[in-house]
Amino acid sequence: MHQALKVTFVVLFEALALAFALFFFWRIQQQLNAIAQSEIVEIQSATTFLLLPLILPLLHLLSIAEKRYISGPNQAKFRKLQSKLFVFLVLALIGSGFVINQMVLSQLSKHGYQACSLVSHHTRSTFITYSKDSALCPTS
Amino acid sequence: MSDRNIDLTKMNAERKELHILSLEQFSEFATTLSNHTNMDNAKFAAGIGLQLADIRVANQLIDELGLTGKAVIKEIQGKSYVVLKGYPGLREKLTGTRYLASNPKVVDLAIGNKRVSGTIISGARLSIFITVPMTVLQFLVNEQSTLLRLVGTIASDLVKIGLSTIIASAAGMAAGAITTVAAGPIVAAIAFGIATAITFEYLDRTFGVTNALIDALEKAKQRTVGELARQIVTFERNVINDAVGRMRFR
Repeated sequence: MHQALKVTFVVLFEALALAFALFFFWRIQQQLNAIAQSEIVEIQSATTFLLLPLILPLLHLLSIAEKRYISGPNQAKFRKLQSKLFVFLVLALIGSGFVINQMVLSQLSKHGYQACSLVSHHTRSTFITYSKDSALCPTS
Repeated sequence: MSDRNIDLTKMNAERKELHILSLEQFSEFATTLSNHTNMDNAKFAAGIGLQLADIRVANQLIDELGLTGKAVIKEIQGKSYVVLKGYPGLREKLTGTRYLASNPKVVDLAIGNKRVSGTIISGARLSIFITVPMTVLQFLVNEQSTLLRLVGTIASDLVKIGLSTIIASAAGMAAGAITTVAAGPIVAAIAFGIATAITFEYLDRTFGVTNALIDALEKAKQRTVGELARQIVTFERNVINDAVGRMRFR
């Protein structure tokens, strides 16, 4: 692949990874606002994984760090550390998304929201509506 | 005469099974199916299951090359090679240091951009093979569903799966360009694939893309087949009125 095309490609996907992360935090903000203002809140499951694409810019940062700052005998050590860091980052990204989602769910139960019985399943995620009053739950 | 001779050996080799149900039997089957299973749940489980299959490939790769596994793709005399870093004695399957990119062992472990794309595409194909029949079955057992809803839902699902696959494969290629960590491209492809699918599902639910598609199909049907049906009814009515008018005249 041509170098310029490769750089464009990488920049594009790193921007996309950031966009996914921003989307995740925007959804969390939206849900917290809905808890404060609305009787009905809709939660999409699996949004935890929206943070996972950040692994791409993080891997890029690691490779830049290796090229610029590490040389000689430290390089072998850093390469071993890089791969361990890679696994740690994957787990940390999924874990932080999970913790943030759990925080929203705990806010829901704290404010007296109950999950409605109608759940909309899609191929990758489910949409669950939470309501303070079961009469407000959607029926179809 | 020779055409009428039945070749039993050929028939047995190409045996097909066809189950024919009466309307009552089908109704009973549909009721049992909708009472005991939730098709939406099954579709969701299939989606997650396929993602787990991709994760299993990544896990196999990490198992084989270890956490410190590195792989570099090199073009030598027009052929693409996968050069593995690290001590070969610690590896179980890939005991050499250099393999052709088309080597079955390398293909199985999804090393290299093309292999990652292949793994993601075969996962998407499997996803289509599971999602489409489930949507059709859901349509058959649901009394309130229409054929246009089925077509609209399948079209929307296929577009979502297709776009997620394209983005996942491209993300795998982007990761391959910036890292030599062997598991990097496959993990990036999985991550972008899931994130894209989740985002599309949110956009579909928020903006009602599938419902808009179904409405558009319904309007198109009304403009074409519906209009034709209305013209036929009007024509029939005119012919009948004309005939009745002539009978009165007599």
